[in-house]
Amino acid sequence: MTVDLRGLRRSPLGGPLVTGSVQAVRLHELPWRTLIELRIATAPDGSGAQTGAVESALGLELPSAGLASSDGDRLAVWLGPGWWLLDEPESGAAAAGGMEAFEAPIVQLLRAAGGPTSAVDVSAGFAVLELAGPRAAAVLAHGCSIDLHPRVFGPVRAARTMVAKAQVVLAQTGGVVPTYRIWVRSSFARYLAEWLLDAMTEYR
Amino acid sequence: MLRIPCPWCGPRDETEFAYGSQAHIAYPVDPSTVDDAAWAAYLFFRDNPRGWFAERWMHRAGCQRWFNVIRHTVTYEIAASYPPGAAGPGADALSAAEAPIGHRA
Repeated sequence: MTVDLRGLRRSPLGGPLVTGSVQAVRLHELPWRTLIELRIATAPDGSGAQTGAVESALGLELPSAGLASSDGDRLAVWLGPGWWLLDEPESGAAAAGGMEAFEAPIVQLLRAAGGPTSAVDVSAGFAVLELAGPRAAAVLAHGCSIDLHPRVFGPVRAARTMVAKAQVVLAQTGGVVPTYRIWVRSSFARYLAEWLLDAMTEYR
Repeated sequence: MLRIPCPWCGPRDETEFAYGSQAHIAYPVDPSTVDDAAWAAYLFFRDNPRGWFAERWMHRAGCQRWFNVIRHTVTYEIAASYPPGAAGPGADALSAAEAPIGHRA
């Protein structure tokens, strides 16, 4: 018998939504995303990762340095040479179907890759935040030293960096208004959300 | 604060990096045949130049890769960064060059 434990779990921010709900910029949590860290062996200089087989198994392009790629609600983010973060919506069937159903896509990925590859489910280790609005870049810039000007860090740009001294993965997912997705360690999620809400207070 | 150019991620703040001491120190080919003095020199003795210095950095908060940087120890100017295994411009070649203008040692 498989027990569905979904009703018992808590997201790192304790609920589906933390929001600033102001005109200029909004913050909310995207709970229960499926996150997989994928590593494919490279040469010491970071080149030569064989991505073709994995890309066709995923049906998603593995982006090159400093970029993210998306297919609907699925996202692949470049973290480093031969290192990507895959962000997908929760699969209801997998969540209800126990460990085997949960692991199936990872096993399929590894089989497809063939060579030295690792795929690790890190969903429980991260909180996913979304910061959206015309002033989103200004809010982030309060605590992030990379250049967030739209000309430099526009849609589909991504970086693994620091925001407010917390280590994060940051991606500009685009859309009509600038939208940033932030992956942060669960243990830093409350801190970062509080920090962002504080930074947002001046943009009303 | 240094701005260090990661070969893969581009220029980032020094706080994102971890320092890894002098670069291009080769592991002894056969450590068991190395005498104590040579082993101590390999383990502990590092150059401390006043000028260009090849050193290792790791992009801890970014791609988590080690790489090499040529940095001037007086002016903190960074002349190059390159992946491990690649031939850099070489601290020796640079030390023949003048220090940046306005910062003559």
